[in-house]
Amino acid sequence: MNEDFLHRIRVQPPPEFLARLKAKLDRQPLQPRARLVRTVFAGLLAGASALALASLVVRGEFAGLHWNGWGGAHPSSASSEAGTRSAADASGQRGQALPDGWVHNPWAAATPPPSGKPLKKEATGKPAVVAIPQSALMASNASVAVYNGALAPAHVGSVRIVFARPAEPFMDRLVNSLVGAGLNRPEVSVEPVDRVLANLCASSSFDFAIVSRRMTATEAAECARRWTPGPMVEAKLGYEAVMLVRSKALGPLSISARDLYLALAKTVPNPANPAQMVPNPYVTWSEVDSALPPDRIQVMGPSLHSEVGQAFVSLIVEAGCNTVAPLAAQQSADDHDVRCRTLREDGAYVESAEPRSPFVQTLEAQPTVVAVFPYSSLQGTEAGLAAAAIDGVQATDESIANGSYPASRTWYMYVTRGLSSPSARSFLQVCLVLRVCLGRVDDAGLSSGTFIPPSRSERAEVRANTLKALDPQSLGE
Amino acid sequence: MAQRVAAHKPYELSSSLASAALMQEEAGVELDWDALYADQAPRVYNYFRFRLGGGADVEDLTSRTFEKAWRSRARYRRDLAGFSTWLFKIAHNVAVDYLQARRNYLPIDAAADVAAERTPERDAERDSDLARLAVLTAHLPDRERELIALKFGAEINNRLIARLTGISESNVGTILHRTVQSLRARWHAHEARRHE
Repeated sequence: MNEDFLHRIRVQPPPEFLARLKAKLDRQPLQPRARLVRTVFAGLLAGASALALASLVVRGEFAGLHWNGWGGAHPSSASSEAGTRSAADASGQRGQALPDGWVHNPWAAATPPPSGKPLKKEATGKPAVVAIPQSALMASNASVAVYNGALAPAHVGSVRIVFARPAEPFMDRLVNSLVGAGLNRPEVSVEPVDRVLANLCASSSFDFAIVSRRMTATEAAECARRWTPGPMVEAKLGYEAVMLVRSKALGPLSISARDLYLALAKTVPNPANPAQMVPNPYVTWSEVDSALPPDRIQVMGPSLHSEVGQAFVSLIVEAGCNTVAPLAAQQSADDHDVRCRTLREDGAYVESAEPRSPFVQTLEAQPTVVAVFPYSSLQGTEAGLAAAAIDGVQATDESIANGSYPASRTWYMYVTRGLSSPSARSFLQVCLVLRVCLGRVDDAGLSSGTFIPPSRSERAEVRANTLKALDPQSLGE
Repeated sequence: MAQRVAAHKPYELSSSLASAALMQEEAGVELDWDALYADQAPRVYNYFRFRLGGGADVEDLTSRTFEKAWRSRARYRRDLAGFSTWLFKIAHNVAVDYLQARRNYLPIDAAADVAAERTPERDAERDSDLARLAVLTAHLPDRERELIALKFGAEINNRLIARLTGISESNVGTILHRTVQSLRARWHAHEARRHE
């Protein structure tokens, strides 16, 4: 007997045991960190922050820029130099710069200082805008925030979040992970995205808005018109994308969202009279579009009530519906959902609850069947499958990030009045600085479902940009 | 999109997935808890096999360890170097609690159970070897049994064992060397008796 012998008598645990245990662990909620430890860290950080502030006050070195409406920008951000310049011009603080590693405090009051006075002199009283070290914000237990020169306690009260529809499954997981991170359970509501963004600066019924598209310049202008000047924060939370796949035996399918709508919607415009809706008459793909193969329309996917199913309907079927001219003209009609979001029930779309492995085997056995998969679960994992190009674009990290892949969307968070409450500031820290909202794999599985976390560089950008006001020049129409 | 840590091969004695994970975290790469689980579960499982001499409770104790660790793994977002240490501290405590609760079921009894199990041939051979080892290690002090389980069951390096047990790294090496020599001598004596 020797050491080799001792190593050799190791065994691999039974796979069924490992799988069973893993499933059990996956169902296990994360335990919040110990309150005592959190409190001690919070105390230490509060002390350190107080010392740092005191030091700055004594030295008269408050160096923040004034909030400048929609043009505030971090001096280090090349992309927002224009905004910075206009801000400096507007406030008379041309050339004002922060020391390395310091950022503007978005939580500070936005009262503009009297023009012409240097910032250092203003800082001797109650500071209008306070610069705080970014390192302090990035600290794991940064549970206090500087606001009007005061230290605000964290985890006070709960915040109100409005989610854009359809975000229910994503919303539940996000809320659970926020609670798991030690925050009070937020009050949540769900509304159509257009209404959320329209009310962003008008309603006082929520602190944060989590929406499935970026605000447009028009909406931002309307927001600026309604909202008493205050910092507006925008943060990109991540992406959502679904794919259509089929067996590699027949190669990738190239199809449009419009074709998919016509193939799968319960009712479609009558080919002979497009203004009239008729039960879906299409049996094969080639009947929908002669460029498509003459295979029977068979799409296999998750329950339409699931997160992936809802994303499929929104991102592909509804998007395709919106490209059909007679229907696009009826966007405001009450029956929009019925026309654009209701799938046929004659077997063209088959809901499958099978686990992935048999699912893939089914596709290999029936090469003409097309299946709906979330992009996040398919990255390089299914060698036997070919992903369809939708409207000529393949799903890749890049095409999803830049929005060119049609079956994808980007989730954003907007904050306006939420910045004025301590609990909202704590929420923002946990959500963005601690990355709970940015899809950490170990934070309640936000990367599961259709949600795709931002890349590392994007996360860094989000954290940096969250600490400055939104630049309207970066918005599209 | 978020880059995930690829599943690691079982690490060499001198390396640690947890350390690698920490480096990945510092490099800004997402931690892959699935990969950590895949790497650590066989180590914990074999730790209990060596510690208890096998037996059906190995799975139960492995589950118990991971459930405790997983519940609180949020603490290790920023300190994954300590994950492996922490995990095996939990495993150690679980083993101690188990042994204290079942003083009458020391490894010799467990070994008998294992020997009686019906397993495929290779596993039977290994389990049989493990059972014989359990008989021999039953005579060792608890500290030596723990070191053997950590070193050869969990396959963790001497540095980590030193951190876990509070013994210096060089002492860990020395004690392990002597223990293996002692086991070898007993093994040969045992073999000789069997053939008489």
